[in-house]
Amino acid sequence: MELIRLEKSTVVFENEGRKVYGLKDVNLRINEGESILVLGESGAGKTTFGRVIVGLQKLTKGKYFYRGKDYRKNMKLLRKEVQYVYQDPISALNQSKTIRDSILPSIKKWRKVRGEKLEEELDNLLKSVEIEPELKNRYPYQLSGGQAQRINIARALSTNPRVLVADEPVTMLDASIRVGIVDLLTSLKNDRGLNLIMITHDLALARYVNYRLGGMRSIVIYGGRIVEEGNFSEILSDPLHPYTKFLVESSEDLEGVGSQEILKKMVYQETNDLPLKGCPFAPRCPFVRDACLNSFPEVAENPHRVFCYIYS
Amino acid sequence: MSLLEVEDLTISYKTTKGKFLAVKHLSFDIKKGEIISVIGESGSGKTTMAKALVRAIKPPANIDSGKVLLNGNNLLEISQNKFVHDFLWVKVSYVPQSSQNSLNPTQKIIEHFIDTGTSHGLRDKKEIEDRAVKLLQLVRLPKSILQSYPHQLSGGMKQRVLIALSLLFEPELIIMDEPVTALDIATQRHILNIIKELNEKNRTSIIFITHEINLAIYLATKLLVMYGGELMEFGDREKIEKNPLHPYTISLLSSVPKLFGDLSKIKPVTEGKINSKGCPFFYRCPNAMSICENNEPETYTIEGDKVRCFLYGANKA
Repeated sequence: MELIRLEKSTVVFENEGRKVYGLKDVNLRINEGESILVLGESGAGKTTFGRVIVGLQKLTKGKYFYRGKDYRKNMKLLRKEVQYVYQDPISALNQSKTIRDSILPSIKKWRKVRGEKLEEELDNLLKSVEIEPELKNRYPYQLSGGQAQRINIARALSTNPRVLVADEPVTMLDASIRVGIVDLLTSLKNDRGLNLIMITHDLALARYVNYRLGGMRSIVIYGGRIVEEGNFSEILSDPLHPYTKFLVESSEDLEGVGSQEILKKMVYQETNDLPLKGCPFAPRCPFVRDACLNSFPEVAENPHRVFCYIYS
Repeated sequence: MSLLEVEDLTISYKTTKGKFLAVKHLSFDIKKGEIISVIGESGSGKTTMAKALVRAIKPPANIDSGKVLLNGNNLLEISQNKFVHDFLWVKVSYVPQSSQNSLNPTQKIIEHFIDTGTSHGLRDKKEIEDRAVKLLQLVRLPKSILQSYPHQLSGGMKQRVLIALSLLFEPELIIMDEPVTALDIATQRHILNIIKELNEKNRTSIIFITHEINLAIYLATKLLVMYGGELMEFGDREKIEKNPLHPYTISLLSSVPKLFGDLSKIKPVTEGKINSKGCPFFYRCPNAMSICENNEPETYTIEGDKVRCFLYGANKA
């Protein structure tokens, strides 16, 4: 069953009179229960993508259907069923409220629980993210980053959602506890049959998420465009798009291995001005040709989906 | 002979709840041409330590005790005037965290170079400009940006301007606090390469502070692992990578997934608070013993590496 469908979804931002694509002509279908990895860097459009999915960001052009219905006419269902986990766990919480006061209203509203049962429901919710219920009387500043992120996840779960969009959920946490949060997200996905949409720039971490959930579909985003799409392990072992190759080789090189095929050739360039026409990676791509500057390529299957003139 | 020796450095903060020790009895050294990556979580004291090395500790923080010896001169004892004039920028430079905001927004980039140069005895503006152009070349920025204001540059460009600025007097030591955090991967790689090149060409010693384990390992010749303001382990990078000794280092290294290797061995370190009495890692340590709760371990030397853990003491089981 189809849950999410994006059709030529486009978001345009204006920055000092300049147009920037937050998202450009994104086509994607996500079925019920399916989890995906969204790979890309800051500025690539991954956060815009996440915000579109939860209904926080309006589309400039194109369509977004949730359960077959246009998102604009479906906001109530989206609010309940699609929840966001933010990168900065402390600032995502209301600073002036205790954890209890932050989460209770949502439980009341979405879980239709009343009276004494309310506290019990809250305690159970906190336990499900491995937080001791006594912490509910604390304020955000009294929490560690890891505790705060677990509480954000609890808040997201309070509506009984179908989809969790986790936008770099561990990037701001100490390295030693990151996989603990990933373990929590992946077990929640398994236990509750959630769709996990995991957004990350960290390929090694993505590899771990894929290991926990197995055979995840992945999309690689650059300049608001999906440039490559396929099974995560295929993308990692056989990246096709020059940008994906660059990402993979960079991470490989940090571990002292890899071919550096692209790394050696890539000319370093500032990324402030991405072209509005053609392939957004063209100005940095060592394999750029005329066609890349004029139009964005059609999809090629070789063996997984890639948008690059090398393959079409 | 060490370029810089830090001896028994202790730094405290005054808080409403009393005195809090941010750095405790920290000792380590860096030799010419070494790159030390300082690894630590938030609250490990790594930034406070770095600030102390360039006398940037300000109230409510205070240096309670210790020495910072640069070529034998105790930087904490000489006059402020002498430090600013003869040492800062000239012998040791500091690129602070979120340094992208530390450029003056009302000044062009060239003025930053001229200010720093003239305040340290360079009189000839032409000479400063010549040096600036060369340094910008080194960090691969066009000289045209000398006429730009900071807001006209991207984050990665500003970061590279600061690295160039820190090199104006070719100091022997540069301390960089999270210089590539929050930058995109291409920029990150680019800056790491510049740091490596600097180190290889000029034998500049570098203290590189980061919370990203993979980056720390990538760059370093030595690792300084800190937790709760204390040294946990200090030694040769390759050796620690292969054979970490402190339970914190062991847990940390096995909590970070890699692109290669067995993922089934990856597991998170237990979350928990810092123990302020004995070993700071006590509450999270898989090998914790009763002695660790209230007693501070000494620093033991094991095959040339330093490790602060009772497991390696004389009374180990």
